[in-house]
Amino acid sequence: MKINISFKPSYAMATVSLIEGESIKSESGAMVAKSDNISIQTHKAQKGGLFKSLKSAVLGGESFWMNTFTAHRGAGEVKLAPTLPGDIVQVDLSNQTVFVQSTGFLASDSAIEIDTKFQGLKGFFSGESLFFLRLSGSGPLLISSYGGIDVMEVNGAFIVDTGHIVAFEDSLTYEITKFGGWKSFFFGGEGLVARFKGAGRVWVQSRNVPGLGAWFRENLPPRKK
Amino acid sequence: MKFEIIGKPDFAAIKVNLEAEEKIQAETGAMVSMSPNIKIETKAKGGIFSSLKRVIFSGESFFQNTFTAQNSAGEIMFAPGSEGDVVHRELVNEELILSRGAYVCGDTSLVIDSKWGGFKSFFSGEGLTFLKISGSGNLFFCSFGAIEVVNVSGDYIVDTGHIAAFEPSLNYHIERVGGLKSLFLSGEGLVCRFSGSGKVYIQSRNHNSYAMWANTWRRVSRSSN
Repeated sequence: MKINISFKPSYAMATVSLIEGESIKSESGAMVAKSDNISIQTHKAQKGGLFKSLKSAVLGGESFWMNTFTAHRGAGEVKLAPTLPGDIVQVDLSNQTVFVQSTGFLASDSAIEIDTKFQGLKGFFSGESLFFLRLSGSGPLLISSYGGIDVMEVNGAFIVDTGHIVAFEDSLTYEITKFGGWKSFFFGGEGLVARFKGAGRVWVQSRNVPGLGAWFRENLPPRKK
Repeated sequence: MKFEIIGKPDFAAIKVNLEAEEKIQAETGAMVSMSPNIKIETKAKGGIFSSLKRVIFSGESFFQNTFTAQNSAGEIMFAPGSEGDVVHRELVNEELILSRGAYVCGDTSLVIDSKWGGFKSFFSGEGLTFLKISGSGNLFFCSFGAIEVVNVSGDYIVDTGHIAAFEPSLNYHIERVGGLKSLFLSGEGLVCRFSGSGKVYIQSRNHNSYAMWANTWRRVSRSSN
């Protein structure tokens, strides 16, 4: 599998070249274009029954269904892009686990397992509509950001606004807290932050997804029920 | 006429220097700024029937604006409605097919007509129709996000929301991607199968899915009845 990311950093698009038999899993709706010999198979985000998938759709915030693209009868390519303007970064996992914010997941090697039903991140049910997927295994992973993306090598402690987190390694421990005192929490506009501890990487995006949503909410007329 | 595309590739705009009595035609609302000696004339180009067809089938404006530099030279700037790139192409007695809303401005010698996308696209809710630009002259069109030129030879599949333009030497066929399950659950909607040889201009973001994303953030108001 060869991945080429073009149009960085504002409107990045990933071109994934597959040799015969190779496949990649992507977020539903991410396909831009593909060769004719690439098949598309639509399936649930994770293995398991309907109930598990439903649960993951509700709890994971990510689309219920995903697409697996596979090359048949020779090599081929598939082009993938996220919905929002921003960058794409390739992270190569080697037998490790990362947490990816639901809107930050673009695609991953079909060998990487996606878990949406883990109970570890209860703290992220923050009312900011942010949820995390747990990905583990080996192979390339594509994460996408709203705005630019920066990788922080945390060693010690570090604080990130929850809306700006794209992904982080599970070698880090974290705690979700309000920012500052109650006054700052309600009036400071910062909402919730994640306090990371330990050593590992955190990918941070330069714009805030719920922030954009709130902007649309304010500027668009209400929808009739 | 001399022109320059500024702000490439993220927020492109077109600066045009007109000689005395030279004209340029543009989509309504595209004008950013101009010299005071440039006169604007708004008309339903090609007559009422042709203009109506353009509105109904292509989502373009009923009216087109023509700008003329009077008595002396003048400068005028045009920009598309959404963020992204602008492409210049000089047509020499040929045709180019643009997707809905991609036309920004061009020489008055170019003929703009709508092109029927077929019944499938009409009922898909994507309102897929194309604009056919023909003749000789300078043409400027825009993309939502970045633009990539793909030289198709054989069969190639592009999501309808990611097409900016294509050459008429290509055959195209609107179809669903994958099986029935993929049609409803893959999030991919309809795709365009190109065959033959020619260029397709792909845009790296999809305005339909971006608008749908924004729509999910709207407030909901109870209707009065």
